[in-house]
Amino acid sequence: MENHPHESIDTFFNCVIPYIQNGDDRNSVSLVCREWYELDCMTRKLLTVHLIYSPTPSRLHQRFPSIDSLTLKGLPFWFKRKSSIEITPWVQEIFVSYKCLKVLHIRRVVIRDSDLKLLARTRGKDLQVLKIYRCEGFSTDGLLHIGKYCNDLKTLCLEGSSLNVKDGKWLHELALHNTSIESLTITFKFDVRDLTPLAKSSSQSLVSLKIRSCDLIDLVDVFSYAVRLEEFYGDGWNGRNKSLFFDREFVFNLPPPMRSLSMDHLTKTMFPFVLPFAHQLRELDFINVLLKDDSQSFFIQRSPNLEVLYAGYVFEDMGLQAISQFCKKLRKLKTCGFVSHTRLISLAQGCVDLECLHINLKDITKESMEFIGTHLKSLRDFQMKLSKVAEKITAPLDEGVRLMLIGCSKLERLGIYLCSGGLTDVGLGYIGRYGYNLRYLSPGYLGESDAGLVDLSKGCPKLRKLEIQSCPFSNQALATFVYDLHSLRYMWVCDKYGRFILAMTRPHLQP
Amino acid sequence: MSTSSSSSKKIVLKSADNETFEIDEIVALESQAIKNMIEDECADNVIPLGNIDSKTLSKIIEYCKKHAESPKKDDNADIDEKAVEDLKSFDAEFAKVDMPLIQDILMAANFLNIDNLIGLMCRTIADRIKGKTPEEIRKILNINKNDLLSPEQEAKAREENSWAFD
Repeated sequence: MENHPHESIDTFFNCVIPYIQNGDDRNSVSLVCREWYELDCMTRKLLTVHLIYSPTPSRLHQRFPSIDSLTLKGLPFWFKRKSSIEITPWVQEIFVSYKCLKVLHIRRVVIRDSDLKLLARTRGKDLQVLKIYRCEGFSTDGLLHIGKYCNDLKTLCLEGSSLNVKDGKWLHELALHNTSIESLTITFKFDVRDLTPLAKSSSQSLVSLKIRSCDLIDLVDVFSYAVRLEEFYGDGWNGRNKSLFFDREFVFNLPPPMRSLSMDHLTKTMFPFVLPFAHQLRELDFINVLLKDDSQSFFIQRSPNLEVLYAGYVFEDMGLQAISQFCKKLRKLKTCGFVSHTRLISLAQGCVDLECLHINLKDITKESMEFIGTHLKSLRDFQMKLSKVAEKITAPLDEGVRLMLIGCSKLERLGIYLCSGGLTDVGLGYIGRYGYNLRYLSPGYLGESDAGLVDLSKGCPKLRKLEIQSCPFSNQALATFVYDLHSLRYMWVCDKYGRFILAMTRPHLQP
Repeated sequence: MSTSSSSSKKIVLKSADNETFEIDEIVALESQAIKNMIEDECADNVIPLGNIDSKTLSKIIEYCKKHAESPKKDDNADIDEKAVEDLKSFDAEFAKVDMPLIQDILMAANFLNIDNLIGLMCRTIADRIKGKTPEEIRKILNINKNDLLSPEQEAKAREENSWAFD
């Protein structure tokens, strides 16, 4: 059968489409032919709206009537105008049109208590996941409705939002009406005693708890109920009631299944409580711990199963050496401390499964970049910053960047911050040529002239976000770049002091 | 296609181009549709499959034979693991055929109701589509050019896709 009859194509595509869920692939599929466009519209379940001021809510429903998982995004955080984007029309559309919505993510917009009330009362019983990230305009009164009506909610994430915290009644309501919370994230300040009833009611389901501004000492009850907790992100212990930890009567235990841990202000005093978990940890956040380099290495040597590690400024060569030697399963590493290029080479050889690497460097060479390209074949997200006090790069890193990009062909996010002369226009051209899969690019102190930006724009066909810091490009060249690169959604430019110069979004480019 | 064991019951399948395939009943039972026919006793000695050509049918029989012969789950766990690996590599090799044949196998598997084979073919097609542009997908699947979106519709969809929805 060389040419399939029409009906066959439909049947066949109906079978295949459930296996294609990635948004980009679905977008390609939607443009193949009329039938496929229609079928994609009818069957699309999962969708992200990137700039909610651009399409209308009714247009969304008209094109995709069967959505059950929806992400609504406002402007990136570096846009100041976020206060002008209200979620209200979208919540009303959800109320009218999306009767089966199970998952809702809302990012960087204004939410009113009345929006939360409408959402909870009309869709609350079906919602399983609600994430509100970096939003503003609401209060704990709005959350009270979430607590009352979202009886089947499994994930509630309230991260980075600035809201009016009146009281903790909403947490008591949630505990009263919901016994199946699996994941809870609250990053605003609240009274931790209000959390205990929820830990009790969802004791058999709660696996992830991420909170801030709560002292470990006050979480003893929560931990005693949440016996299945696998993930805890918190403040750790701030030094209050120090003597308690040495009191034999004092019982402090992390739940046994714990495998993902983040504690600010973690000190050696806490080692007896956390060290027994080191071997089973998959994820560890050391960003804000107060441990010295040798104590961190001591801990990391005992954590051979780590897959994700965040490390702070005190984490330098010694810590990285420990990781290269002991953490062979590492997939994600973000570290703030400055390390030498020789340690970077050891890391590339030691942790070949790395998919994400953010690293600060004291120095950099072509060879270390080549090692990354040779060994880190799974790398998708790479960010390197050269120290401002680093020795001047003697030769441009162009060839090193080229070799790294050829090796790391899966790279989707790239941030390179060097110093003046670190990468020439030729190097920028390499990023264009070999950065086929790049979606996010952040060049810092790169290039020599507008010609570099022109070369860059000849490639990177999938680039969506560009954040430029202190590169010698004229406004005219930047405008041409945006015009030439149709995939670009956001561009942000700042000078060497980090002062914002230009920010644009599509479809309505607004300086 | 004949098999060595003579004691088991045989079923004969006839393709659209009139080629006959004699197979063990146990192999034919991989197809839920044939299984139903046999159970309902509406299968004659020869089952005609008027919409499946011999090339496609012989591939499908190859698949069913392998899967029928593989130890099923619930057996010894050690054998299970080895058998699963073996079947996996068979499936991977089986799927290495050109797109028209894959489409034919999928249509036929759909008609014969062979769940695993439908899944395998769908995954194979999806894997070949992933990461491709609409133009490349049309070429891969030989899509009829008469059914394209109008330039206006396509421009609108493209704009929505790139800036708003994914």
